Amino acid sequence: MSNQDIDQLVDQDYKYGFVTDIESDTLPPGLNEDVIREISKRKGEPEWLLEWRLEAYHKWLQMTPPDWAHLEYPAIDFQTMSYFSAPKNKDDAPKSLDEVDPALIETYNKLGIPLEEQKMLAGVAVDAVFDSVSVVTTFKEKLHEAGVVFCPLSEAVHSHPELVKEYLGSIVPQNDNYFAALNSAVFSDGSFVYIPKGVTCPMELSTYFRINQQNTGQFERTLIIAEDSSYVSYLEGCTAPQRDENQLHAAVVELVAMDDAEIKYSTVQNWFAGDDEGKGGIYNFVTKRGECRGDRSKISWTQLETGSAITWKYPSCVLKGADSVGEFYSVAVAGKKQQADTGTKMIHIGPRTRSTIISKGISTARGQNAYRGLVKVLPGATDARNFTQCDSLLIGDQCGAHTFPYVEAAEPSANLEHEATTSKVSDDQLFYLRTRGMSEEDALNMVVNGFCKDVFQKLPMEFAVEAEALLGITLEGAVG
Amino acid sequence: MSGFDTLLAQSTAPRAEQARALGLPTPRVERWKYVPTRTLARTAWVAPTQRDTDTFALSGGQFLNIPTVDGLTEVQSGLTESERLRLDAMATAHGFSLTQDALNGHQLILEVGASASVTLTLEHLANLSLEAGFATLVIRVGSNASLSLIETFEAEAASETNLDSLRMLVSVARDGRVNHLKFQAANAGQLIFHAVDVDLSENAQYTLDTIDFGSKMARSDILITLSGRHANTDVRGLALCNGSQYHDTHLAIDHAVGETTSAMMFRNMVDDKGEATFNGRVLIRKDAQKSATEQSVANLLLSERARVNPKPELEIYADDVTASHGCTVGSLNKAELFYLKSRGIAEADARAFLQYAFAEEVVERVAHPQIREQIETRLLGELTHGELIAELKDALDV
Repeated sequence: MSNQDIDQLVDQDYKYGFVTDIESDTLPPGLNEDVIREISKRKGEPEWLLEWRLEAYHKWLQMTPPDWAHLEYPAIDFQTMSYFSAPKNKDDAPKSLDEVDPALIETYNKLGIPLEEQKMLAGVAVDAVFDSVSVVTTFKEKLHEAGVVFCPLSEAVHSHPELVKEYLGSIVPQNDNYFAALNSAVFSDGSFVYIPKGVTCPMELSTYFRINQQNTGQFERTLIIAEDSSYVSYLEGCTAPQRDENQLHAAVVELVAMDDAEIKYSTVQNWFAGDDEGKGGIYNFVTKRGECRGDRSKISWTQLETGSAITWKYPSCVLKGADSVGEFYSVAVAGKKQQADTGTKMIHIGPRTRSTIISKGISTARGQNAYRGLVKVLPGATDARNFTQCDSLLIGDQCGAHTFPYVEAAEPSANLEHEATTSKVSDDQLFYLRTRGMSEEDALNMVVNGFCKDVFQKLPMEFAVEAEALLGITLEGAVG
Repeated sequence: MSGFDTLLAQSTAPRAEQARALGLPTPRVERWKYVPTRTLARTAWVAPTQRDTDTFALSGGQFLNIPTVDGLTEVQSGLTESERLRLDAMATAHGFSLTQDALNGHQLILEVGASASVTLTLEHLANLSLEAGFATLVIRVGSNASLSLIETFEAEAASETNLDSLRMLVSVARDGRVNHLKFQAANAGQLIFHAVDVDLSENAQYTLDTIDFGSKMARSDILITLSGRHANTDVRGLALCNGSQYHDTHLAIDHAVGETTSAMMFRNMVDDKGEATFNGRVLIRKDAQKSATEQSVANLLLSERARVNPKPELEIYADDVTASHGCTVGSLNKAELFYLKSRGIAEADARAFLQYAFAEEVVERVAHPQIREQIETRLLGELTHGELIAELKDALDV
């Protein structure tokens, strides 16, 4: 492939870059107690939640942004951002797709999210978050029959206050870290899922997040509770429109799995990565943590991270219950001038707890990709088992791949293994595929997809297809 | 606040005030995350005195009996600019490195002439109770020269709290080679802080075997910079932690140019309330194409209260390289134990067998036969049931 072709491919604009023009009800930029009171008021929250937000805000004021990650970015000015944005017509929330603002539908269509088709596919219920307020919720009845609660967190605050009160902040405390504290103070909305005892959720739950309003940070807060012997698979996917100023996204996701429960949480993240200089991309500082509270419970994180200018994300599992299982499967791609510092924490507390970490990092152009993980085995986690594999693939000589695996072991019967490799795409493999008549682009795609296979196999079917396509788009023009 | 305040207040060294102001690093300093600083902070350290000996030794921050052998000269003209910069970088890392710099006693500069071949054995003498000795050793190895550097530790002395700090700068010219062997079996009261900074020119080689058996705590900061093509380094380490010993190795290898290779292999065996920390960081810079590195770290946890904190890091900015690391933590393999028992070997002996085998991976590669023998003897002494192995070794004459 000639350099010109490569340049052309590299120069391709972000395919999902567009802004839907809907009037938004947005608070002026700035963060102070009054803003938090206003957010709480507009969302009609009870007093205790406002108190909780303010408590978090005061904790946040005492904290300093983390600087240990392998990331470089200018200091974020939290006073230049707006902390609330809701589509105006939220009062007459639509009951079906016909009632939905056609501009929204158009946006989804551009994204290729088949919201209408999904009804026919009948496998996926969508609680679509457009900026901060959930606009459309489908398949509620079917879930209701099973006893599953799947609604925006803002709604759950009113419909299931006791559950929200009990679990909110119980996995990720307000002052867990700088960005979690910020989220606790100003969180906009997110999903609330409750799976009752013995229920296998009849469909895969899915939320498409979308950042739309200019200069609006988005602060999702998701809470999933799986009672004894229940099962749920939750899908989260993101794309965002092109813009010039950096946007901050600081989400918090909390999962709780009781005895014999299983939660599968899958993410495809394709937010705007910025231009070639990294300008304009999303700053993604996310705190995701699941607690295997019950015996034999299981939490599995699967993620495909292709977007964002900065990714700071460590989906973790606290393995408290005996025989509980934590899994982390990740593919992270850093191209352009993207920086990703992502990984997981597996905290083994209960006896015979097991965890698996498979992390695949791909770096192209001037991307910097770091795996940062912690496997911690506390005394008493007898016969705990961990297997960690971190592989990095470098495409081009301007990028970087880094591995920072922490291990802290304090239990002699634990058995931990870690292995990591870093390499470039083999010329031999590319050459072989080229001799079979494949274009260089296709050959690269095939090699990279093979590299990621272990992770993609863990994604739900619909997501796996999307993931492969997304990876293909991301790597266009990356042949070195 | 640190136990060095009095000494620092008396010091006129340029960095004394800064060191006093900064104090000891807290666990928030990443590189000192696991270091127990209690003894360092609470001991009222005093200035060291020197002891008598007739061999090349380090005692109370002074080098004694500097050897006069062919090819080796003591340089009086001071540090070169690049050595000064490297020493500055070493000194300014954190509060304790500033203390090491401010309280430094003897700075010895030795030069191994081009094409010379020199063996240097340095014995670390234990300091007296509460004494803290700080010294700096600068070694220049000429082109095509070879240096065998052996460090041993006086073990018999009384086990009162004392501190031994040595900073070492090693520069190896083209085609030069250094084989560095450190067998640390210091007394149980000693705190050891060693920092080694090695710079390798084209085709130069540095190998290090570091065996840590003794001391109350031992911390090694090793930086090896491969700054010439085809430079290569091989580092092997074994740490045995019993009682409440703490052993900590921070090893960094910097592939500054291409076609350089590095390998590291570390084994930590931790029993009782011991704790071992290992941080192995490999940096492959942007233009260091066709470099290769491999790391292997294994940790054996033998008791309920033993702790290990291994962290093998890779930081890679060049694409045409091969880099890998593997790290394991576990106890003795049950299947292996079962096999040995099924062959009629008592459980305790079988456990000793497996521990011995684990340590031997490092020990058997020690090139110096006499020191290797000393290491093996000490190793068998450390194992709870080492007698059978010793008998077998005698019988088989290996």
